[in-house]
Amino acid sequence: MRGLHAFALAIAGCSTAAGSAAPAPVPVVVEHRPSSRSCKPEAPVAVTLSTTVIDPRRSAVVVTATPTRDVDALEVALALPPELALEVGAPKLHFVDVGAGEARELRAIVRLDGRRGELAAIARVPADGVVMARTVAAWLGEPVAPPVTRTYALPDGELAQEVRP
Amino acid sequence: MRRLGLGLGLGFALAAVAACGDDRAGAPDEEPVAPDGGGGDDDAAANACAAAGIPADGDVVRCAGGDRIETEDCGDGGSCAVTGGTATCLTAEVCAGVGPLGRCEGDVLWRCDGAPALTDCATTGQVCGYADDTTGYACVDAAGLGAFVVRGRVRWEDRPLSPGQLGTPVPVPARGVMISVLDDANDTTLATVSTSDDGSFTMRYDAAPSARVRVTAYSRSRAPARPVRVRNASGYLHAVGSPAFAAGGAEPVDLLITVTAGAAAWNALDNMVSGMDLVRAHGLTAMSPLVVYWQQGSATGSYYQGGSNTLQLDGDDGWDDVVALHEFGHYLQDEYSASDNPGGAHDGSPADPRLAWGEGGATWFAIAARGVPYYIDYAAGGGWHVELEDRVHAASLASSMAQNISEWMVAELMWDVGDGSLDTDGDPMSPGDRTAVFDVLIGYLVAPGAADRGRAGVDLVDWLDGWFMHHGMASCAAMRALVRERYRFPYDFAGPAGACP
Repeated sequence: MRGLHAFALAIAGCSTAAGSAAPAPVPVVVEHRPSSRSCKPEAPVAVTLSTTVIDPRRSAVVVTATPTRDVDALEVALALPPELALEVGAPKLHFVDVGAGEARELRAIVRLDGRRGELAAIARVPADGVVMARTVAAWLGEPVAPPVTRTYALPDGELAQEVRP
Repeated sequence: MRRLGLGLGLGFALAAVAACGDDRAGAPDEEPVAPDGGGGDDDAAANACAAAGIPADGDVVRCAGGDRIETEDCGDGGSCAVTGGTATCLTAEVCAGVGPLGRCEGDVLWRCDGAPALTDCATTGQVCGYADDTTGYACVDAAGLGAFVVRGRVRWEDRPLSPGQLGTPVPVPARGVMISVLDDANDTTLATVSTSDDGSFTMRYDAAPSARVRVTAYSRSRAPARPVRVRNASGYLHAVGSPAFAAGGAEPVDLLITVTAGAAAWNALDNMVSGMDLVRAHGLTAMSPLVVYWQQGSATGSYYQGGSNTLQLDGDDGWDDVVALHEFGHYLQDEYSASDNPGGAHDGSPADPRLAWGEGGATWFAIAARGVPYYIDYAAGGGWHVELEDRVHAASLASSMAQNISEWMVAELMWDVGDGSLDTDGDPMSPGDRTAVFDVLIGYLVAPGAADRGRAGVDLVDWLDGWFMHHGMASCAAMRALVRERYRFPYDFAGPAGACP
């Protein structure tokens, strides 16, 4: 999924001495914007997804969409897998006549209830009659364990990283 | 060595005597000739390949309804073979599971280097095995090939792409994929072959009798016809191995590369294989090596880099066949056609005509290769897509041939010219021909002395000029209706091929 996976931070402080304050949750931010060297057609909008753990059951989410050209319409949306639920906020917001560089936000609280899933933030804008979208995603909850691999060189020097059963 | 169609025919036919001997009321006037001296044995003749010219080269002769002989024309590019006692036509369709490297079924060799052909290697005391990455599978001498043999099939889980969604995983054959048997103790490669286009492989190797080995598939195609490798962000080939087994045992070994094991890397590889097959089908034979970088979770963007012939696929474009083939289209432009694309971010809005040509031409390649006129960029939540058959991203007749235009218009126009039987909008160029579009890409656009009209550099005007240079002026009226009336592009129809009436 686009962007580095953002893993929710484990809540610290369970075994800390009484009276010491738990460190403030740190937002995990993923961003995707039009690339100067990308040669596939791309939506003229940048998207940032910020997730902050509130407690083991909930995360605060902020989606920021910033068009890179004037647009007639801008839609900002969250796409949640079945494992996640929206507790506070709207899943989708619509804006009109947004100028280049003007940011629009969607704020929400997502409930995990001990589960995990990939949350996607989407910005949709029209460009020459085509509704284009840009998506960023972040994992909420415990990360998925990566597959077991081994790396080695092949006879011609090429390197391989092999997934083992 | 004899071709099965004429070589094994008698043996198989005799073993499969059909009840065609008594009632010949429906038999053709011209008696087929039994192969290999079998003349006079009606039953043998009833399941055989007809001799050349009798009644027609390549025809199948067989029983029909148990009481009469019929023949079947195997058609252009088809051939006849007798397998399992039954004479059948080998049509071009069977080659879809063979590919340029051939295929082994036991010691029967399948090749599709023209008309499909079967060869029983055993008739010459040979075995069907892997010769090298250029020839692929062939009849080879068993001596020195290795004491052990392992066969199997490699598949990967595809997620079919359609506008707004990805399908559930579907196993598909791994075409032309590099596969090795390794000593499981130290990862030493013992033998390496490539899969046939049905994913099957036959691999002979030597190993210590007590050794434990495994079979591993790599995200690479080694054949010169399809020189592609897909690496992860660290530069490693993706690879998926089988459980270890005792050398000489555990046959067959089938591999299924799952989505979670990184099947999208093989999806990227398969798209490049399709692209190279399409390029070769249009007459280009020497393929330049291509390296693709893809890794789940990477955020590289998707782009092609000439010079190094590398192609970056963004982490979320692993299942995006259209994006992958669009980038392959840039490889085609770089290696075999022409583009002066200045690059940079673009969104389909009217842009520098050199960019519109480079991007629109690449998109045309992608949709033409798939035969589906949709640009699709899937992402969680559906991504986005644009339909390119019915939509019109028009230019302005009031402006010049050098005006900024939409890359979508370039792709739409080229699709209309070449959509042939896929045409649904009744555009003026129907029925078109994809090959005719291709001819201009790899012909006029790279021809010495080609005129440079429109904006300086390669643009749509140059491709239109090339169209008439390659295909003459017969399409003037249809092209005028398409280009000027439908797309409102002020092409002057007065290029180097002459002026349209």
